[in-house]
Amino acid sequence: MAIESAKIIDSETVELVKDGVTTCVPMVQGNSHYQEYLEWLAGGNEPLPASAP
Amino acid sequence: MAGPLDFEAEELAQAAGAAPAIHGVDMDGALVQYITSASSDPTVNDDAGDGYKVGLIWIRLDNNSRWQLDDSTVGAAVWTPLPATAAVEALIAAAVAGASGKGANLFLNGSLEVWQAATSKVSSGGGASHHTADMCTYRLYGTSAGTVSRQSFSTGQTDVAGNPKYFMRSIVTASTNIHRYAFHCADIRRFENKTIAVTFNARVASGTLALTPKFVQGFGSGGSASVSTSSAEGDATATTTWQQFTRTFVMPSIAGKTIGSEDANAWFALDAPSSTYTLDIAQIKVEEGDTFTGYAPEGYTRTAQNCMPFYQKSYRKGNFAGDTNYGGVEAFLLNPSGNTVHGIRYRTEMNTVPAVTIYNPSTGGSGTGRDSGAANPAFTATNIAEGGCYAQTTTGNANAFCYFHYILDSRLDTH
Repeated sequence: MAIESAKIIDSETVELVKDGVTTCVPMVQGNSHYQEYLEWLAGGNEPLPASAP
Repeated sequence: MAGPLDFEAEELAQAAGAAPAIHGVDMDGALVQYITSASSDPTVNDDAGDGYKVGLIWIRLDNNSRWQLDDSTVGAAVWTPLPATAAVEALIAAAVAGASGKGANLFLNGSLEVWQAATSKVSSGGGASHHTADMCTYRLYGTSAGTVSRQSFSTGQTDVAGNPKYFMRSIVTASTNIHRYAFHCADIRRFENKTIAVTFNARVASGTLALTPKFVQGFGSGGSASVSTSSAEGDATATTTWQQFTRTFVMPSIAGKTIGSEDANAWFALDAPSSTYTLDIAQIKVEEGDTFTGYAPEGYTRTAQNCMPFYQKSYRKGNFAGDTNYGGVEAFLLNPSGNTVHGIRYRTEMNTVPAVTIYNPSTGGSGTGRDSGAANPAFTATNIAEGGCYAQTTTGNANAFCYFHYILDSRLDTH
């Protein structure tokens, strides 16, 4: 159940790929997916930047 | 005046043989009303003309006899005597509790009837959290392996009170550490400084299994460390026959604690020791006070609605994330400009801002929809809020019909 990749969508949303499933995750404290993302970042991982508009 | 319920006040009120007193209201189509009568049996004329509905219970206070109304036809009412069984006591206790407003189940999926996300979840251990029935999670620690799944009761079974439809089965096939089954109750505030009674049913396929009940206050992301409270009654040892256990917990104050976020919650946990086993769990009730007051009928619709602030899906009831069918899909036209935005308004507001996953109803893959030109345009959900969001794509066939499923996830899985 590990995050495979992350991509910043905008200032409020990050797109995570986990177990082959792509999920749009709000960057809010109360969401467990976001907590997983923060742990992933703390592990030295980096998200892909947002696409150019 | 033998019986498990205290009708003393009723006896006094009806000492002079007053007319039968009606108690309670209809709830979700399930009658929780009951009638007390000082010393009279019901007759064929105690019928719909008096406002009585099928399912109503009549309790005669002077000898504790009980009847249930099977046919409310005016002038031909049929009242069936109820035997003095544990199931009847539970039914009456539920009726009394429902009528008084007490005894509400603070665990939203008590009958384990709602399994929106899946009906089977495999774990390969490592302490990873897996959602099973709505509001339920389990973790197998260490190098463990197992599966939790939904199982059906036999029709008409009487081993577990309240006539539930389903139970949860955990089959652990390898184990090097403990296992935890958690039943989450939203809003940590309602449990502080209160005595909580938790009633559940359990059995194992062979031997015995000592389950350690706990009640945990979790303060959410960025909040204080969780606080675990044990029950004075200690372990519950499951055997090969269904047993109903009640354990009480004196919950501490949360004064001085920091509630980090809205996913703060309290949960009833059953810890199983490291071993391999087949464990069945059913009918969980969490209520204020130190006494089990019976199982009240909840019904699928109400239970599902109560669980939807934590998880919603566009799929049919029996379909799950990644299934390939079009039942319940979002459907709309792709914009000819090549940039399409489709709003999603949730069926009810979510507990927290949810994670949103878009699924392709044709391939089952995530992150894409399906259009009528057989393209799979990529979708991203943005502006996600508790009540809605929108999904956007910049590809696909212009002017084509487009379809996708969605999953909203605000589930509680802190342990």
